Amino acid sequence: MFATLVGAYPRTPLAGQPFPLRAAYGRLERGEIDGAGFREVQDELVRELMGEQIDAGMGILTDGQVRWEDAQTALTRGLEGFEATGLLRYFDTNTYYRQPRATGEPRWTQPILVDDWRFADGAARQAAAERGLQPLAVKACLIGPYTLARLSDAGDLGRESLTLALAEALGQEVRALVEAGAPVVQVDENALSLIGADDEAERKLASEALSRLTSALDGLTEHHLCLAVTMGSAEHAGHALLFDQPFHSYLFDLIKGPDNWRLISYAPADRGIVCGVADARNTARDDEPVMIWAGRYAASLNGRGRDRVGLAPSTGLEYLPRDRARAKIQALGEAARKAGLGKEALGTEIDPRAVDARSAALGRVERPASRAGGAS
Amino acid sequence: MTNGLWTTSVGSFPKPPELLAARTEHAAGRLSDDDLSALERRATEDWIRFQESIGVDILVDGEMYRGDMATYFAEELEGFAIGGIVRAYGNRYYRKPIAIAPVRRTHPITVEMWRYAQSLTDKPVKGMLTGPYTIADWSFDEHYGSRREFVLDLAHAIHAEAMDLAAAGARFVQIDEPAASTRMEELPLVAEAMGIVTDGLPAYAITHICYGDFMRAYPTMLDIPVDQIDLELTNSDFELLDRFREIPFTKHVGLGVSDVHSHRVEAVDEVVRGIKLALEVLPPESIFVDPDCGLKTRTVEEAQAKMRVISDAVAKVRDELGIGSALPDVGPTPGRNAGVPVAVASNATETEPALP
Repeated sequence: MFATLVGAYPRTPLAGQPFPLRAAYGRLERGEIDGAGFREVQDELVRELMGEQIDAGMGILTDGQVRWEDAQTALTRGLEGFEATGLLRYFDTNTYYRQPRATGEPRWTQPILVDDWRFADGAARQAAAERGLQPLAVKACLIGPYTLARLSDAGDLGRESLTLALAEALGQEVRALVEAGAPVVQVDENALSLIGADDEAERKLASEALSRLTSALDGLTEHHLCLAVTMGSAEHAGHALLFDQPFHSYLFDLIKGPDNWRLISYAPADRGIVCGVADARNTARDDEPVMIWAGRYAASLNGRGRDRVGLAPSTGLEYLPRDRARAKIQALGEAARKAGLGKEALGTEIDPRAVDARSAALGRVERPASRAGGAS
Repeated sequence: MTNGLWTTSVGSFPKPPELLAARTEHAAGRLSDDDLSALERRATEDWIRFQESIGVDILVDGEMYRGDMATYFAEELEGFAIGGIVRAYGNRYYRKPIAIAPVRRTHPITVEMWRYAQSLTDKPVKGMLTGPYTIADWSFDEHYGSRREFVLDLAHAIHAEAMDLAAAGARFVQIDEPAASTRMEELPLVAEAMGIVTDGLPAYAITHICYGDFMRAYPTMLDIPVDQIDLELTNSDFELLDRFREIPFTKHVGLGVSDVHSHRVEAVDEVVRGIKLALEVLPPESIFVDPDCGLKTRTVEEAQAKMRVISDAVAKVRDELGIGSALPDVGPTPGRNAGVPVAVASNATETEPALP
């Protein structure tokens, strides 16, 4: 059992701390520093976030996507065939992105995210070494073709053509990341949550896009592809669409999309499941026993086992202030550690009524007889 | 003579550099409340004078004393804590409120500054409020656990503020709901809450909606009980206007004709084009012309230039079409509660405006 971010993390500072990134952005706009100078400030923030994740007990790290304007622009800036247009709200959040517009068939010409992943991987290694720890995996994340097309203006190309062209283009980026050594590449397809029960054409299009994307890895054996769906339930996308694809693991938002549990029940045992159980859209503390229960339930489904299950926020944590986000990942790291314990050991760390059916039914704590001592 | 195409602003204007610096000093405890207030009033007067100088019909105070539009009200209402900063887009951040107890209004929030701004001019100054749905949506909720209860408590608080503004003499009260088009399934909640806010309000009520999925929100948005819906239209190249041909717009419209997120100042003829597109589907007496959204993200110079262009473009169209600028004797209109047309006119034309 491990904990991981979905991807994004606040780029804001902890309370009372200076905000060098914001200042640097202003200086960049005024021409007081150049792109390299701005990147140095971003680099420092990535280093800081690697340490913060390790200290919180996260098992798989990300760079927090703090270099990105938004998930769409991060890719379309590097592809041929796009221009940026007006501001649009991202799903139901109070964050905004410039909608990409296809000006022609998108084309991948060179790696877009590889340098950023390499830097993050190096920063993570350095942070782990400073703490006397073994290096932790750093996953690379990118928006998937179905979602990117759905959030873009397809222009004259039409959305179907754009989706499939993006599948080919982003497949090249995924391959480049794998070849660079990214141990996990996560494809974010939040727009699968927009597919309705009767949207057979959408299911077919999304399925075809994911097939084309994953086929870019044909011939490569050492890789791990994760498919992430947050911002809602992918229930109507259907389990066939998701699990017929060669992804090794899946991350689901179980706060905004509790119906995703039904999908998880169909996931073959050899696929990993990351449970998005910490509410990334609210500051309130998440219930630890619930997070632990979620991880252990996912582990028990189809005999998956705890090694192939992780805990995560319900979506990117960028919607929270930094202090609250840090508290969330600390709670996730601790919940993952406890969820990985055996039943008796777990009973010493949380109220046994949360994990023991007999105690729960009796409404009082009945500690295992074999254990002396224990938690309060 | 037909009167119409009245010019106005959505609400905010950029703060001058000296005020921005003063706010930083005040936040650090190095500047007194009184000293900051004096600078806010000076900046407010400057914006009132500017609007008068270019002939704007309905003025705003420019919100020199506000930071974020939701946080400002949360700071003044009981039941909120103010959280850390979160990003909205680009390099824009705001302090996001957290509801930690039942939300209550304990004192007037905007009335004093409205009185001050109105005292500076004979033209009407809008009372500017943030709507209950938006305040709730842009806050964290650690108390209610029910969005509806949260929104409706806020609606009662904002209603009290709106009534106080009207009692102070405000003829126009704008209740901004930029979050209204976020979740289609909650548009009825937006309308229910606005119904509380505008219940018995003896003023012309406006709501501003922006940066959402208008194509899906229309025509349900017409159920929001206000006299005018102000819409950001430049950002989407006026595509929503085509929908008005299919399903008539039953209220007055605030026509956003300037992109507030672009440094580029539109040419007068670009704005004229937007106005004329609107005139194809709506009569001039139902159109109020303004920027897409608040101009606070621009520099003072950019904001003033954009407002001048709007003013010049309206003057050009008025002159060309013989439209006057006299303001009607405003108050609640029949359109406030008209809602979505019952019978959808499939062949509405420009000669058959669907206004009440």
